[in-house]
Amino acid sequence: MGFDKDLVRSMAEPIVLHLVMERPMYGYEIIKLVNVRTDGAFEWKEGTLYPCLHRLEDAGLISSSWQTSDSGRRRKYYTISRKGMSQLDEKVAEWDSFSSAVKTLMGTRQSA
Amino acid sequence: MSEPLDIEAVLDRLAAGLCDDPELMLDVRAELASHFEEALDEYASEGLSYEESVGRVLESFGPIAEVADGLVLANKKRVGSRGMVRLIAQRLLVPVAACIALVSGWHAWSRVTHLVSSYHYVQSELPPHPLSPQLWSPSSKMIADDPVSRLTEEQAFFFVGDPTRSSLAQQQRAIWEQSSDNRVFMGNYVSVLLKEAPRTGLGGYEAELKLVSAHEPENARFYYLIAGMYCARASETTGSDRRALFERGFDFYDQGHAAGYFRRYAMDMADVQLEVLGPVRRIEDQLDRYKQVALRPTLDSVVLSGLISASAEYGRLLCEAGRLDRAREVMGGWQDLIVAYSRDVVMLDDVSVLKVLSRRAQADLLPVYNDFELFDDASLLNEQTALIGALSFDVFQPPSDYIARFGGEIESRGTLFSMLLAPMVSKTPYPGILEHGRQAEHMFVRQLGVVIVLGVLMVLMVVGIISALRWRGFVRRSSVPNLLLPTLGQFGVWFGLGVVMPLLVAWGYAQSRFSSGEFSVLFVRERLVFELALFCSVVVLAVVWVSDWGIRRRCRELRIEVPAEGLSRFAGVVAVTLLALVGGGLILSSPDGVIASLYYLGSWLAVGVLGCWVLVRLFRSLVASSRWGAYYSAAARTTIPLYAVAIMVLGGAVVPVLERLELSHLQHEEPLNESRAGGFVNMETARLMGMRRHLHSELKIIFSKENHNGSGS
Repeated sequence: MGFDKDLVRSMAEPIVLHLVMERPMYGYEIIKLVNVRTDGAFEWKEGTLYPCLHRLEDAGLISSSWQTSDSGRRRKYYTISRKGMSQLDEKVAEWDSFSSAVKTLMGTRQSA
Repeated sequence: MSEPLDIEAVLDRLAAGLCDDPELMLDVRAELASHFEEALDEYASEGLSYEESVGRVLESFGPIAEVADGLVLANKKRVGSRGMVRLIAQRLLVPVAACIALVSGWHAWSRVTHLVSSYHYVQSELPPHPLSPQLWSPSSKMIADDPVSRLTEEQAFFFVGDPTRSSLAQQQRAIWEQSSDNRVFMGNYVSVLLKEAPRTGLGGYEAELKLVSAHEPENARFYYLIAGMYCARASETTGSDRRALFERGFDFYDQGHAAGYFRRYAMDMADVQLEVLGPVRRIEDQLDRYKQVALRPTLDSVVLSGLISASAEYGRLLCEAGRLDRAREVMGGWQDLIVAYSRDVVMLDDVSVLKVLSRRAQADLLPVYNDFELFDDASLLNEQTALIGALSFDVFQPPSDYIARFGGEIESRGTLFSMLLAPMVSKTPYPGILEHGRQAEHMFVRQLGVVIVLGVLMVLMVVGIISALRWRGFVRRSSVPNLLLPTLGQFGVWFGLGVVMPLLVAWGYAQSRFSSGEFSVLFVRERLVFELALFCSVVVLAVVWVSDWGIRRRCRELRIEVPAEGLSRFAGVVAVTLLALVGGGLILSSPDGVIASLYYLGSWLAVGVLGCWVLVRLFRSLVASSRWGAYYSAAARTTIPLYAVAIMVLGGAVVPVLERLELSHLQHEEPLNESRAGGFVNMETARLMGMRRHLHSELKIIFSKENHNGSGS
C-alpha cells in the first residue's frame, strides 16, 4: 500500500534522523534500508533523499564525513548530532501525540 | 559509449546550481557519483547490462531538475555564508595586510636612518673610548676580547680585585687590604658585602662591619646596617631566637641613633614639600628649593640626589662659562653640606651615591670640576650616576691631567667594577660605560640568543611541516577548506609556542646571574621595532610559502581555479620578504637585541593567542552545530595559516604607535627638537641634553643680568 506523498515528505526528516541515529550511514544505504524496512511502501525516489540530508546538515542536526570503505570506495557518512537527537525526540513525541489524537478521533467516529 | 557521458551529464546537471561555491559543488557531485556507482554495481550484480543498469538508476533516482533545485535550496544558506567568508579573505584581508606591511617597511627605514644618524652623532660628538674604540653600528660587530685584558696589571687589580678569592666581596676586600686607609676601597667593599649579605653569616657580617666602622667610628651608618640585618633576619625567624635577634638589632639601632633609617616615609614628605614650593624658572631657584628642603630635618636621599644633580649641573655650567672661582665656591659649599648630611641620611639604595660623594669631598677632589672635558661627559649621565660617571671617565682615560695630579687618589676603580655589571649601568646613556656593560652581557646573550632564535625557527618549521602533512591527509577525506578561520586556529597554536618559549627564556635569563636587570630590555629599545617585526616575518615567511604550495596543489587536484588575490597578494609577499631579509641581517649584527625581541614577541603573541581564541570560540558558539561550522572546525585543526602574516604585520604596527605616543609624552614634558632628537643615542640622552640646553639658556640670562648689574654698579 502506497502512502500519500505529502505525508511521506513531512516525515522524511524524522525518519532519516532515526536511521542515522542507529549508526553512521551513507545516502545509498539509507535509501535501501528504508525500502527494506517498509517493504517499498514509501516509494521514495532516491534523488529526493539528498536535499533532505543537506537540509538536516545545514540545520546542524546531522554531520558528515568522507570515509573509504574496505572495497576502496569513498562514501559520505552522516551522523546525528546532539541537536539532532533532541529534535528527533521532539518529533517522535509530536508524532505519538498526533497519531494518538487521530486514533482517538477515528475511534470516536467508529463508535458513533 | 554514450552511457557514461549520460551519467556525467546528469551529475553535472545536478551540481550545476552550486557553481557559486566550487568546493561545495565538487563535494556534492562526488557524493552523488558515489551513489550512482553503488547502484550501478548492484544492478550489474543482478545480471543487468550496463545500459539497463543506467536506465534503472536514473529512473529510481527521480526527476533530475527537481533534485537539482532541492539541492540548491538546501545549500542556499551555506553557500551564502561561505561566499561572504571567501570574499573577506580574498578581497579585503590581503590588501589590508599589504598596506600594513608597506607602512611597517617605511617605519623600518626611518629606524635605519635613525640608527645611522645616532651612530654618527656618537662618533662625532663624544671622545673615543680607549677600551672600546668601536661603538655599536649597523656595520660593526661587538668587540670580542675582554676589556680587562687591555689594562695593566695594576689597573686590572683595581678593576676586578683578587680573582682568586671566592666571593665578590672578598675580591673587593683585597683592594681595600692593599690600601687599608683608603675609604673609597673600604666603601666599595662594604657595598659589595651588603649585596652578598644574605649569603653571609650574621656573625661574620657583624664582625666585618665592626672592623670597617673602626675606621669611621663617628659614622652611624654601619650601626644601622648591622641593626637592619639583625631585624631582617629576626622577621624571617619564627624560632626562639627571634626575640634575641630583634633585641640585638635594636641595640645597634640605639648605638647608631638610626631613627632616620626607619622613616622611609620622609622621602614622600620631601616630594610633597618640593611640589608645594612651586615651579622652577631658573637654576638658582632650583638650588634654593633643594636647599630649603635639605635644611629641614626630613632630608633624605631623594632630596639629596636632586641637590647633587642641580649643584653639579650648575657647577658645570659655571665652568663652561669660565667662572671657575664661582664654580669652586658653589660646588665646595654644596659638598660640605652633602658630606654633613650624608652622616644622617641612610637610605640603602643610595649608599653608593653618598659614599662616592663623601669620599670625593674627603679626597679633596674639587679641582676636578675645573676639568671641563670631564664634566662635559659626566653631565651626559643621569641624575643618579652623574658624579660616579665622572670618576669612571677618569679611570678609563688614565693619561688625563687629573690622574697626573691625583695619581694616588684614583680611588674609583673598585667602584667601576661594580658598575660594569650592575643594573645602574643600564640607566646611563654614557656610551663608554654602556659599551662595557654590553660586553659583559654579550658574552652570554650572543651565544644564547643565536641558539634560541635558531631553535624557535626549527620548532616552527617542524610544526609547519607537520601541518602540511596533516593537511595532505585532510585533503584525501574532505574538500578544500576555506582560508580565514583555519588560519586563525592554526595561528593560535603557533602563537602558543611563540609565547611560552620566549617568555620562559626571558624569565630564565632575568633570573640568571648574567642578567643586569632591565638592561637587555631597555637598552636596545631603539632597535626593537623592526627587529621584532622582522623576526616574526622570518618565522612566518617559510610557512606562508608551504601553505601556498599546499593550497595550490589541492586546488589543482579538485580542478578548482586557484584563488588569486592578484597584485595585493604579490605585494604582501614581497613586502614580508624584504622585511625578513633586512631583519635577519639586523639580528645577526646586533645579537643583544635578541632577548629583548623575544620578550616583546611574547607580549605580542599573547595578544595574538587571546584574540584567536576569542574569535574561534565566538565562531564555534555561533555556528558549531551547523554543517559548515563543523567543516571549519575540522579545517582549523589541520590547515596552514596563509593569513598569519597579515596578523603578524598588524601586530608589528602596534609598537611604532606606542613609541610615537611615548615620544609625544616626552616632548610634552621636555620640549625637544624633533630633528635633533632623531640623532640621539636614546631618549634619556635626549631628555638630558634638552635639560642642559634649557639650563644653559637660563644661566646665560643670569650671567647677563649679573654682568649688567656689575657694570651698572
